[in-house]
Amino acid sequence: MKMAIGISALILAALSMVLLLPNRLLLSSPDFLPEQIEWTGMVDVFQQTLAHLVWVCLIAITCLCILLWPNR
Amino acid sequence: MAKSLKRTLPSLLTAITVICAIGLMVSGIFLHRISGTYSFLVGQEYHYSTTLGPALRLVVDPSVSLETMRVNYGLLFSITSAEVARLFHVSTFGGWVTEIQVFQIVFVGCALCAAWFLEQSPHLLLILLVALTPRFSSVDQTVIAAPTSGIRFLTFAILPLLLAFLLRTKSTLCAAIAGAAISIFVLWNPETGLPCAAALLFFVFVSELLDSRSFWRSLGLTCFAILVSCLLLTAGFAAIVGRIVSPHLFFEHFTGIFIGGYGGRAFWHEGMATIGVAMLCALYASSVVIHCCLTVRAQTADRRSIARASMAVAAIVWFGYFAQLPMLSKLYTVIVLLIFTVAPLIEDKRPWVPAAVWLFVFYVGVTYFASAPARFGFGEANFQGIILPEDTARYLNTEAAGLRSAPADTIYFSSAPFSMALASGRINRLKVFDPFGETWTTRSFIGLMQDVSAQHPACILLEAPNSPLLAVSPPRSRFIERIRSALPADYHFLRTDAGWEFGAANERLSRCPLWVINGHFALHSPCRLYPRKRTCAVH
Repeated sequence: MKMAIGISALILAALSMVLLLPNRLLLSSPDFLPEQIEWTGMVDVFQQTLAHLVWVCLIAITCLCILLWPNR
Repeated sequence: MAKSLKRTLPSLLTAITVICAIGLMVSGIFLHRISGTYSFLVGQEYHYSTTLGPALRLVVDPSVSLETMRVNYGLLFSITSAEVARLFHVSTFGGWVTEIQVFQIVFVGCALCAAWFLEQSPHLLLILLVALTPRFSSVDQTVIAAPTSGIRFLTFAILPLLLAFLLRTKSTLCAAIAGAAISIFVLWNPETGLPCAAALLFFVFVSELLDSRSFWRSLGLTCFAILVSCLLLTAGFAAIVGRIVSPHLFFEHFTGIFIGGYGGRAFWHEGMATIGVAMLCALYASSVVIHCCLTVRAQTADRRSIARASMAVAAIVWFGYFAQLPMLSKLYTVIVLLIFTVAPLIEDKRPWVPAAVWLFVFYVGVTYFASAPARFGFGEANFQGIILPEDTARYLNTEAAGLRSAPADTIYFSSAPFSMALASGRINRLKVFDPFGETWTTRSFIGLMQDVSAQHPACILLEAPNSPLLAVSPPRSRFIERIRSALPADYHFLRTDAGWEFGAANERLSRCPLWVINGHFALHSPCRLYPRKRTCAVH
């Protein structure tokens, strides 16, 4: 389990890089109506969504590597 | 004495927890919801409109086609809600609140059954009860904010039940059942269906890899499950809508509200505590999955541990919801999914491990319980089975009476579309049920106005500026102003009465009821001067 936690922590650390990117570097389209922004405080969350997708992909790739890497 | 106490104490605590849980879950069903104007508008009306609006439309107008409306949370979700409302003659807002409470009980019941069949651990049942009861009780905000209630997340309680069943099936049968379940889950609610789909495909793939040690066979079975789910999904969609529809509509109905985001919040919206809990959950979920893969590789895994890891996979995919709305309340469903994976931890020999689990569960339960309780009471309801402030109730009743008297093709813009639909029996034939709640962007606003223009109704009603609902919600006021300024130029607002501003199109003014033109709003039945739309083909 320690190994699993170590790998997971590494993945999360890599993930934080995506969240640190300035939002304007990424494709986003903040087109919200002003009254909706006032109502809920909504902001464009493209970057966070992307970070989540990257996280899912990293875990999927890690799992596939663990499962399919040939045993010595 | 000490030994006897040690033996009876767990049973006693369990009995007290169960009694408290039942009391908390059921009490609201027999009481009336008490609400202030603001909490009614923001907490209840807004959420019921966007969640159960399509279901209410199906109840009020059974002839309406699913193709013509936006369904935010899934086709089966809406159809089931509508059928239950029809079956039990739910005709008031209070009745819909009770329906949600019943679905909360169904959710908790399914989750407890699932935990029992998956792990056969009374300890896990108790943990689930403590974690679920505060959140799904009658006194929590989830009853009021319908999108956070059990009906939306029902597949998360059924998923572990299905995994418990799949533990006993092998290969092709397992893949076929998983594929069929994915199609039903996605039809119920696509956003929660996708994490369930990921979990089931993970289970099919990894359990086959454990059994056969063949990558290609595992991949083949997973592809078979995907194929079955796609075929059944297409067939199910066609059966519900009544015909094979275009891929555009197909995807529009399956993406609902979540593809456009949930009206996101910045990652640091709630501060470091929330981020800390989220990181802990993320670390735990990914560790469970990776640990499972390591044990499968070492041939020390069993199918039950793969089922647990599948629940963690669902949690990882469902983290996307939290990524868009990084709030502790949104993390709750992720935690519920993860609770199904903690059976080995609570049986751990080291006492601090189960203690840490219990501490976390108490933290989660107490946090939600203490956050913002919903109020229910014995008083007399004054609007739609709910106890509202007198002026608000009076205003809404007058507004509903005014709407009932309006021409059949009238389009109205109200802060309380769910209440108005229930009280007047009138629902806009627009694509969206709640124009304010479902129009977030300039692009979608243009779409809304195009929809209005295409219908070109004789009358348009806008909520009057003196509305007590608009008084507590300036953004809604501004939205009504935006609509007024975007309406076609030939609409003129003649007068304000009965809580509405009445607008009529110039060239159709002669077709408009006289009371709209001259201001005699004493009429509570449809005006005879207004020529009704012919619905019969025989002339």
